Amino acid sequence: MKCDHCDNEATVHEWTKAGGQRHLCEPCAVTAGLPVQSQTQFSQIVAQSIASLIKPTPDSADPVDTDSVDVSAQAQSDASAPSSSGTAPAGSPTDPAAKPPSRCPSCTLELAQFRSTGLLGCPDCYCVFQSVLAPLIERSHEGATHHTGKTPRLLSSPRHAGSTPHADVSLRDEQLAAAIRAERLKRIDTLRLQLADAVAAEQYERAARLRDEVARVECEVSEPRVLANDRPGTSNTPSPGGTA
Amino acid sequence: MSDIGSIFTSRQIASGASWLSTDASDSDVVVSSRVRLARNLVGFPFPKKASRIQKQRVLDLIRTRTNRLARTGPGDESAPLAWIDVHESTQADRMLMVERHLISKEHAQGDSPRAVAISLPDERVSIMVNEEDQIRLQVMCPGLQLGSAFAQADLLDSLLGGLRPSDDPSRPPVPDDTDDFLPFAFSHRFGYLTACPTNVGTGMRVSVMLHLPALRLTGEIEKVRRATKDMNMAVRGYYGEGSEAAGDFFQISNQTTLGKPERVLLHEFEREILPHVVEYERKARAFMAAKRRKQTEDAVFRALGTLRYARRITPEEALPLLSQVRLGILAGLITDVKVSTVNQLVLLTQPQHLQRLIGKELDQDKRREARADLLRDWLKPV
Repeated sequence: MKCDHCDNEATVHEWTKAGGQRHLCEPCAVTAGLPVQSQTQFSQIVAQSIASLIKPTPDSADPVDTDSVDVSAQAQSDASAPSSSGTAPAGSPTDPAAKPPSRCPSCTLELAQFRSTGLLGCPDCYCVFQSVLAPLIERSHEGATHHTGKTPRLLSSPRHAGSTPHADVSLRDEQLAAAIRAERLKRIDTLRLQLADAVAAEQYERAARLRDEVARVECEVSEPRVLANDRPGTSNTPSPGGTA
Repeated sequence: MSDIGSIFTSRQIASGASWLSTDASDSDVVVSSRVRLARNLVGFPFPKKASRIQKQRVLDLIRTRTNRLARTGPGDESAPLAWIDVHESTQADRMLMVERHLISKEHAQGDSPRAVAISLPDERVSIMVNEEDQIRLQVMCPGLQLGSAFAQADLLDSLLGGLRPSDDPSRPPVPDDTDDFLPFAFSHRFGYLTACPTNVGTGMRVSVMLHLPALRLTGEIEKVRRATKDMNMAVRGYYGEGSEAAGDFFQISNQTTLGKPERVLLHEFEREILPHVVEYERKARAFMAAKRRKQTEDAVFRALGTLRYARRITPEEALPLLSQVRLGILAGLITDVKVSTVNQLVLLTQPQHLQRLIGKELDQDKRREARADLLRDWLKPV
């Protein structure tokens, strides 16, 4: 609510015996001679207790450093896992000179659309627009750059199992990996059939999308445990604008 | 698909919603707690970019998995889930679900394939399908019960995604057959991938609905807004994003979803931030009772008087008055009305609920009269 006298927020509210009301900011209330002292003291005490909660901005972007609760051991082992696995570290800085593609080949979302709506088109957009998204994500998540929470079954691996209390997850992962692989091979077959149809019908844009999808799924089959979009150096994302 | 008439019987509607119950901790200030997880499936565009066929396919996949849960049941923790194809529901049914906080206003709009699965009869769990993300799984509990809401949401997420719940290592892995799960879109760097990057990571939004009448009366509410914003919390209205605070009911939720494990986010919210806001409101109530007693009594009894004797009333007028009455009961000024009655009236005075109670459609004028009748009946002096 605005102050009756100026544009500040009204923080002092007066109800008169005659039924009138006044809503003023503190400076205007003082000018008007209203007794605001007691409320100011009250509010200051409580506001200070709330203000004391506000944490200083973390100096480091490493989320592990910002964790103050006693789960940091698990967070740390999760965060360090990618580099110990011998794959490219998930946090590798992307090449600042590389111009981000303007369009996601998987869902056709234009970068400009994301800028106007704030919504991405598909999971692959995170890979395609990574160089644009990473700083945005960092800003909107208090400087955090990496996920340290729950991991879905699809990506669970002995590497992760070692960092959690669930040591027996690995065995089930092997069975799961086989099931996922079979599912993906089936999907590749379907996609190839659709690709052949698209080429026959001279639907080249559709064919290009299907070709890219085949490439993506093939990559997942060869490396089932790490999504390609974590690894900018080994991206399987086709160059934008490619045609069949 | 379940028939909405059989889900929301008039008895169920008259008894309100379980998350409005008042026998939970801190329910003088915290009306309800909610944990929401956002998930999407590998290989499909997010709903806004998906074709109708793709949305239908996603819906079918999730329905199959959800039906399996409904049949076998995940144990004692959850009631069976009823499936409702929202795009085939009437506008009235959709608005009823919005009023009950089972679906968002956005989810109620549009005719592309979309659904919601609801746990019955408690309605604590609702899984929106094809909202901004393909899955928006929410668990609502009365009072301050974020731990319990998280545990149930985490369990359901694990059951859908085929993973052992993160908080219970002793629990056997689920589901039994490994090819029966939903593959969630995930990146080791960014976590669960969501349509909006502000949800990425855990995909978890923790929120509470707070009743803060004294902070508003003392003019302190803006300080709470500023302080919570500084702590990366969002303050929203009664119906969440984009809605105004009505009747001093505010939602506070976390903004950060990346970089901290779920339990850390939960702990920070529940133990380090929320108690201060709750305490702030309690101090403001004590201040009002001690230093501005007459002013408080006047506001409270005027509100009760209006509700008891009005002959026509809009929801916009009724909600702030119910809020004042709620404050009056908690301050010990009103003794012949229960907080639970007020909580239920907040819901029952909404347009769709009112019409279901009456049993017929009413125009706006008639609704105002019916609302006043309902309030008079429920709040009549003992």
